[in-house]
Amino acid sequence: MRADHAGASSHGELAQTIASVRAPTSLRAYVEDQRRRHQPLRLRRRMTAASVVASVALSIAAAVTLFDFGPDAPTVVETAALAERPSSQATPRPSMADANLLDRRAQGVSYPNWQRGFGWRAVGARVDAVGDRRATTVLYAKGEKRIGYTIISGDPLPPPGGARTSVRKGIPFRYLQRGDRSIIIWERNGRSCVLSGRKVERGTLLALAGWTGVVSDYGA
Amino acid sequence: MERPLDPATLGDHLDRLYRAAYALCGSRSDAEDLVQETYVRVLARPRFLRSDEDIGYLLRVLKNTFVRQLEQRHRHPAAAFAEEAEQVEAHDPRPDEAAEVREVYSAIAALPDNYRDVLIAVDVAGLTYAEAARALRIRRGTVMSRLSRARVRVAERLTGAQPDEGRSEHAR
Repeated sequence: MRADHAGASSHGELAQTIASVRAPTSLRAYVEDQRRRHQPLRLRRRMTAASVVASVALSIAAAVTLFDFGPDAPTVVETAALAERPSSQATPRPSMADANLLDRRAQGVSYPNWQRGFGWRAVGARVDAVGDRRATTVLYAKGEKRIGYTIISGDPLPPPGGARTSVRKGIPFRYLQRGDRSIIIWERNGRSCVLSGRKVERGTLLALAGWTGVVSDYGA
Repeated sequence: MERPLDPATLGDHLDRLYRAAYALCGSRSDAEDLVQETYVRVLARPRFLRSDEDIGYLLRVLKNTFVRQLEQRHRHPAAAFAEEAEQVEAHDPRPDEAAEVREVYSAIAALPDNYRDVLIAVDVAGLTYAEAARALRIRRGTVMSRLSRARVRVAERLTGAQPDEGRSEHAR
């Protein structure tokens, strides 16, 4: 707070309280990571036209190989791949207020605690930029298997091409299979959620995705 | 004359931006989300500014992102889990956070939009009256009058005094 508009001593104390708050370490790490990612932009501008053309061609070839080029599939599959990346943030803990939830939220939506009902425990978290969207992922593990639950910022993603649909309690869950990776995409609170894992049954993912903390959902 | 916003300097404003986000949301976890979303939007493409007030620009993006998030939540009614999540946020105090800090930021977040924005710009983000006026695109005198009222309301809320009749509290 500036001296030119400082008020009474109580106001000074208020200013001290406000200024005592610092950005958390996880946020600093995220911003630093984003800053580093955007530095190469300058280098890219120096590339020759030929190298740009070559890079684009390589990128298209890689995209065709990885994503089949179905409508919007790249975004969903790219998002699902975040489940393979290592944790970069603190492991979420069960919420003190509701054992069905973790203490981690993204876009105003809490992540579920699947340990009690399904045996999947939270083992880490990470935040990534996917295009101009932010993707917050909580990683879960059960034995050797591992899954990632990603919530994407912004408007919901369009349904991916080639996906099948399973409706539970009126909510459509889109299902994709890419190699040994199963992917479920659905909406919660107007956000796209992507749940994926390698060598995990589609039914398992659907049960997890459709669970709302109600006991009867356990057997689904 | 326009100049490009240098991504390398964005980290310099992080604490101020985080405080502003906390004051908007009234919750640390939502504030972290909001700041991350703001940086994603800012870094999505090169930005060119007409002045040297990076923090003023970032505050505008932060506010726009916050408003957009609110609109999206209103467009899409919360599902069962989301409703529970809001309750958790309200009743899940973090032991490492002083109650005093929570009360102050909650009091700011509960202000009507116009008062809250000015108080955030000046008292939270540390802009001068002139900078706040430019960032919020209002007159300097308006900044001063709204700030004065905003401070009174925060003080009333913190001391438990009843606000004057006819002044509706902002409902987020």
